[in-house]
Amino acid sequence: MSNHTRPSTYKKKQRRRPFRRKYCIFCAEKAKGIDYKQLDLIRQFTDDRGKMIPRRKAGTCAKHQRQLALAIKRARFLALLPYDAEHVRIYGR
Amino acid sequence: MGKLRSYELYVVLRPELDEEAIQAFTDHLTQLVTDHQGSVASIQVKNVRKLAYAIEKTLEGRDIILQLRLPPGPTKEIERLLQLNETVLRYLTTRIPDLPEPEEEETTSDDSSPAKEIEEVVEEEPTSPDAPEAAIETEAVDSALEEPEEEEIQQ
Repeated sequence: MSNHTRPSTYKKKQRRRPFRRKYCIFCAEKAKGIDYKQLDLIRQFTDDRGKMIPRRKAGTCAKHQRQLALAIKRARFLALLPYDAEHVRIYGR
Repeated sequence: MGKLRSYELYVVLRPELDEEAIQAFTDHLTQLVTDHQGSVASIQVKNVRKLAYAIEKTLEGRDIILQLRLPPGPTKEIERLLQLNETVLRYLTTRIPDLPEPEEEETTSDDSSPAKEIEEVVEEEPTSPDAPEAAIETEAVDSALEEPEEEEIQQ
C-alpha cells in the first residue's frame, strides 16, 4: 500500500507579499538618451557607496541600463560621481 | 573635407586659474578648432566645483563645456594637446546629436575671431564666496538698478 499523501504545508495557502511590477522609468518617460551631466537623475541609480544599482533592483530595461552605465562611467571619469566607497567616505557623496 | 560631426568637449581645469587664463584657454581651443575647419557652437564656463575625488592632489575644479562641429580626424589632435596642457585635469569628447549648421560663417573666411557665445553659468550655491562671476553679476545688477533712480532725480 502506498501512502502518497501530501504534507500539510502544501495544502496551506502560501502567503504572498503584495507584488508591484517594476518598470523602466526611461521607457515610461520615452527618454531619447541619458546624459552624463544629468547628475540628479543618474545619482538615483547609484547606492550610498557609489556603486551602480543592478537592473533587477532598479527595474530598468537592458537598453537603458546600458546607456545608464555609460553615463555613470563618464560622470565618474570627470569626478562628477565617486568611483568608490572610499571616495564617498573622504570627499562626501 | 569630410562631413562635419557634432561633438561635446568637457574639460575640467584647475581651480586656481583666473578669468584671463580661462579666456586665453577658450580662445586657444577655438583657434584650434577653426584651424581644423571646424566651428564652436557654444562655450559654457561653470563655477568652481568640488570634485568627487582628488585628481592630482586637487579637490576642486572648473568645468568648461564646448559644443563643436568638426571633421572626424582632428579630435585626436585636440585631445593630444589637452593631454599636454598642465592646467587640464580631465577632458572628455563625446558625440552629440547634430548641431544646426552655422549661418554666414562658411562664406566669410576672414581672420576675425569666430562667432561664439560664452555663457556664464552661475550655480545656485557658489563654492567660493569671492567668485569673480558673481561679483560681475552683482555689479551689473547694481548699475541696472541705479540708472532709473538717477533719471527720477533729474526730473
